[in-house]
Amino acid sequence: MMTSTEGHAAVTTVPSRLSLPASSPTRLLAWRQRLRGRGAFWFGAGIVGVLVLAGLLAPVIAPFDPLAIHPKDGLKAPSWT
Amino acid sequence: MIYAARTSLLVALGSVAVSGSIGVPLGLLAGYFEGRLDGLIMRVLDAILAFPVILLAILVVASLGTRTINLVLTIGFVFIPYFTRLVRGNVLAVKHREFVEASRSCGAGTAYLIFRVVFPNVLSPVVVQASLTMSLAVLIEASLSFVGVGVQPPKPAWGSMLQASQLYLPTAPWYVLAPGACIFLSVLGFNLLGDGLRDVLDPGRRGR
Repeated sequence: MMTSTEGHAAVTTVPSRLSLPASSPTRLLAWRQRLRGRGAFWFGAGIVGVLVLAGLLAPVIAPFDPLAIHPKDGLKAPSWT
Repeated sequence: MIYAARTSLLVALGSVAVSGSIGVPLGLLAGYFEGRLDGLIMRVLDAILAFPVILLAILVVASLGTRTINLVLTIGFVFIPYFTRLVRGNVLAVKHREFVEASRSCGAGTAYLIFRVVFPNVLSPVVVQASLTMSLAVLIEASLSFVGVGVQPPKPAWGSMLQASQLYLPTAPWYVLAPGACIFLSVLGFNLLGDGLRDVLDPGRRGR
């Protein structure tokens, strides 16, 4: 905004379009700034993320039917596979 | 254990969805209209709060059967008053603010005011409450499965695993560690997530 006092009356020039400064954070950046340094939040989010991923990828992580019973295998020797 | 995570999270998510989808509109209506409707809704919810969760679950399971959906509905039903009270309180604080009056003076209808003007301004505490309720729902689901009225075998659940491992406590005490740790970590995770969201979304707590 510019003000000129030359002449009898002060003339004020208002910019035709108001805009935020270039450094104004977007919503995403604002969220990132707010969450920065909140270790407890990220720890909680990590735990929940791992649990959700484990739930979603359960058939990939453990591709065995949890309800299937193999009575013969009970007599086998211990093995790594 | 991993399949039990799926069960627990689904039950928790489902019960929060049930309680939120019923509790939030009830809170909006009670807070916005006040008067007799508010009194009626709040008294009914006071009656729901008087029910002990375990007894209610036993009642539902005895009458409807031991299906997971019944567990979801029971836990969801128990948490409705928490959402309604929270939303009602926030609506009472927001509904006389200038932007609501401005929308009303511009000719906005009641439904528009409730769902498009007031509701977005009470959403933040609801998100936080949902996260904290998830942890409680995991805990209640595990408790109910532990006493045998929750998720029924052979469907895996942390609570029923804990109950099964109780027999082996003297000979194999590590058996209880895995389901116990899973319950502990999931509750801790949802609580920390909810606390963090509250710090971020609540303007009064920002910067602390």
